[in-house]
Amino acid sequence: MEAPRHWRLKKQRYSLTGEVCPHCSAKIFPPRDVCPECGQEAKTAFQFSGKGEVFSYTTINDAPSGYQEQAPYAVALVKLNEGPIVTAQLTDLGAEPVRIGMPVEMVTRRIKDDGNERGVILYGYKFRPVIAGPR
Amino acid sequence: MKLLIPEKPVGIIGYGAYIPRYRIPASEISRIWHGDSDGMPIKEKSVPGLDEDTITMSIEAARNAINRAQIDPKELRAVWIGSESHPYAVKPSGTVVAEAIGASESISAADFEFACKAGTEAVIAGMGFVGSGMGDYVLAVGMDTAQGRPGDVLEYTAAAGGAAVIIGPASNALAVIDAAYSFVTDTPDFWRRQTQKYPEHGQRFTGEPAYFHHLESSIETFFAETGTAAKDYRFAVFHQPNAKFPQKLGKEFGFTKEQFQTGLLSPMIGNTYSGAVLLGLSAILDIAEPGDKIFAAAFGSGAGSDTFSFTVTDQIRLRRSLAPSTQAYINRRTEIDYAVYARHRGKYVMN
Amino acid sequence: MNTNQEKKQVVIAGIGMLPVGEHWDLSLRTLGARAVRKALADSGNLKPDAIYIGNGLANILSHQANLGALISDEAGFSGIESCTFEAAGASGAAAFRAACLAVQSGLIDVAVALGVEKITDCDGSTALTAQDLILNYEFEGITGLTVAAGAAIIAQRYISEHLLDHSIFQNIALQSYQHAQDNPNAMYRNGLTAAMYQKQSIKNDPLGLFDISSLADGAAALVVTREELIPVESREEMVRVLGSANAIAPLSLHDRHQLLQYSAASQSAASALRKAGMSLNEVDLFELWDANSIDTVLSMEAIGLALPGKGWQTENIILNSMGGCLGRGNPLGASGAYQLAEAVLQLRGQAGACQIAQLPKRALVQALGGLGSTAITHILGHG
Repeated sequence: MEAPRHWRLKKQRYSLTGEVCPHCSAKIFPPRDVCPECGQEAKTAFQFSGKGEVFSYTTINDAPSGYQEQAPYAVALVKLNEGPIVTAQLTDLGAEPVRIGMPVEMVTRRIKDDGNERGVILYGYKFRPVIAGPR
Repeated sequence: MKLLIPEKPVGIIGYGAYIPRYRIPASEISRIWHGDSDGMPIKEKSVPGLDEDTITMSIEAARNAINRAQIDPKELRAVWIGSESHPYAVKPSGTVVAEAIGASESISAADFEFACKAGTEAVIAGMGFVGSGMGDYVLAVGMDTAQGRPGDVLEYTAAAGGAAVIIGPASNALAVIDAAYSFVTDTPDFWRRQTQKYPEHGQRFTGEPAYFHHLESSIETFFAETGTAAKDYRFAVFHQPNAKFPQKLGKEFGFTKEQFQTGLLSPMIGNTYSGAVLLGLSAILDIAEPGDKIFAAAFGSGAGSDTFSFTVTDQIRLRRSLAPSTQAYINRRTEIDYAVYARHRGKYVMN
Repeated sequence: MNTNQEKKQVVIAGIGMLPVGEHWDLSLRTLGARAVRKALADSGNLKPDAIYIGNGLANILSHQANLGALISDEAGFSGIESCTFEAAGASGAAAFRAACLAVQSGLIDVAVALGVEKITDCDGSTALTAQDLILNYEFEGITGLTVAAGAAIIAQRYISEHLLDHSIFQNIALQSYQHAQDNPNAMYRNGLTAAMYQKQSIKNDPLGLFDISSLADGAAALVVTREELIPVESREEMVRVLGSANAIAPLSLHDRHQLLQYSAASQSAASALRKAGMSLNEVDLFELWDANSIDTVLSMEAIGLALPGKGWQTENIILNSMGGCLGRGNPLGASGAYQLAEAVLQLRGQAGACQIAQLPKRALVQALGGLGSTAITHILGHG
């Protein structure tokens, strides 16, 4: 069990909280001390909308330990509307085939149990096809 | 005076539904357990995905409610989750939900449990909190991923889903809460002990002495004290463990099908327990017009009933399109068979 | 500045490899020590001053850290300098570069670079999970991503952007398996037909079974020293280290500005060539990374051997002449050492049935770690 490392990342994991660089305005996810665009210090929190599209993807059948009960599952690079790309599982795909360019939205889901059924439940972002229908 | 009416008028500022996308038809459950295919309590029920639980579903419903409320989540002063399927026996669901939706740290967070009325219980607490002036906004969620023992009659109906509401000052409400009432007795019709996976129930004892007695008592008192009757409401929603009970109850009090069919979702998605009445309310708010009066009556085993009256305001027109409708979630549907259902609900022993 | 120095000084005096495969009867320490002793024997029994060990996963799979003391002592060299270098798939190459730098500095006269990996101590899923440690755990591993799946995500984008399909990977796999047939240290020696390839199971779309290398046990070692320490009459035949460079790129796929550009591979190859004072067209033989076939495609493009979208067309160069990771098998932290030792065999003319007809003079050997996030390139050659 490794509660501290996940606890530290909860804001990023639960809600895609990243940063905006105060120097060059680049949107940054995950947050980091040095802006990857301009190399200056970055630490201003920024809330991403969670909307984006599939940049690339694959399907995992041979899952690593801790993920086998979820297999098969799709993992994608999702390009957020604000710019950055994040790695995330796709969920709630139904019968819809994944494709590059597919519009997706962030949801907060169970990522895995830390340890077995006795451990902490880890929650974090995944993406799903945008819900259709009246809003 | 038995009614619960806060000093400062309060109402629903925002609401949000959530229903997972998977459905298992009752006929499929019957196929496995050789049930009586004529007497299906519902058509089909919703089943959560492998990565869903009461916390994740509450987060989505809460985000929808915040979008409709048009408030900064930092303005919330309490985050309360009502459920009989909290993922942890000990550790609050509310703190995860609060963190995920971006609430501030200066809040009250707690989990409510009262079988199927844990959600409305949180709403009543929220009315008191806001109505007393302790805070402007409270998030109250009723959400469940209910389990039924394989082969048990509850397996046909025990479903997943629910809704979140944000309680706030009536001046900013899309539906003002006119009054509430709560009626409870010690009646063991349905329960689940601490480490048990599946609940027990009193079979036919769950009907007359439990569901009907508590709802009837609650509704009778509410009508008497408010001086209202079925005809005064455009919509009504009752706790709906199946399709039959709420319709029988509604008719007893003179409600017509036109009044209760909008909020009657159990035939399509099953019994969402703590989520049921708030989800039905969400479906009603999706189509209600300013001035409409809505009646809601929840039931929780153990046992008790909460009743409410709402008056819809002009705000509804501006806000309801700011999040997916209840129907959008009902329409998002992937049918699964019993084998996949068993996997989703953790009925296979993996280790 | 030291172009000439580097070119003149460091020579490879010996190499030793164990067959790649499932060594159920050998521990990590035995694998490593045997490869060291083989390489030293090949060098005419030079006495090492230092042993640098490249290893990726012993901490997890063998419950073993502190390999320097473990393996060097096992090989019979208590008292010398030894420690471990880790750079995922490039660990063996990192140990070799460390050995070259040590020898070139003059502080060490004879150094052994060992790459060793013991995969089969655990069940397959544990090994797979351990390999995923080379990803960014907090933002990639946590999603359930695996290394092969990461490669597949790159491949999916590649074929989409260039309007291709997964058949472009066939040639790389067929070539590697064909070359491995004649390599006595290779794990897959039965060849691969186009029909078999086309019927393969797709593991991580678009990559199939034969596009993804198999992890296996292995150990390979190289002995390096300075030319001045070699008897004059032996100097002519020695393979020299003409250039060496290591470069990194963002670890996470999502942090890369261009997913389809292996920038570290590009920078490290250019830098190694510059140090060798050579241009690309002077290279006779290429050992490029092929843990997953898309790695080779993007390495080809990064190094400048192919235009973007054409990296799968490898017909015009001599590539992975002894089977690469796909055909030889992939003992992760040892693979970089195998690549170098195999190139030495070719340059010496000792590659047996794998020997390239016209004796090559210059080889470019590049190992990648973590889906192109680390790239270590060496230029080997004669005089």
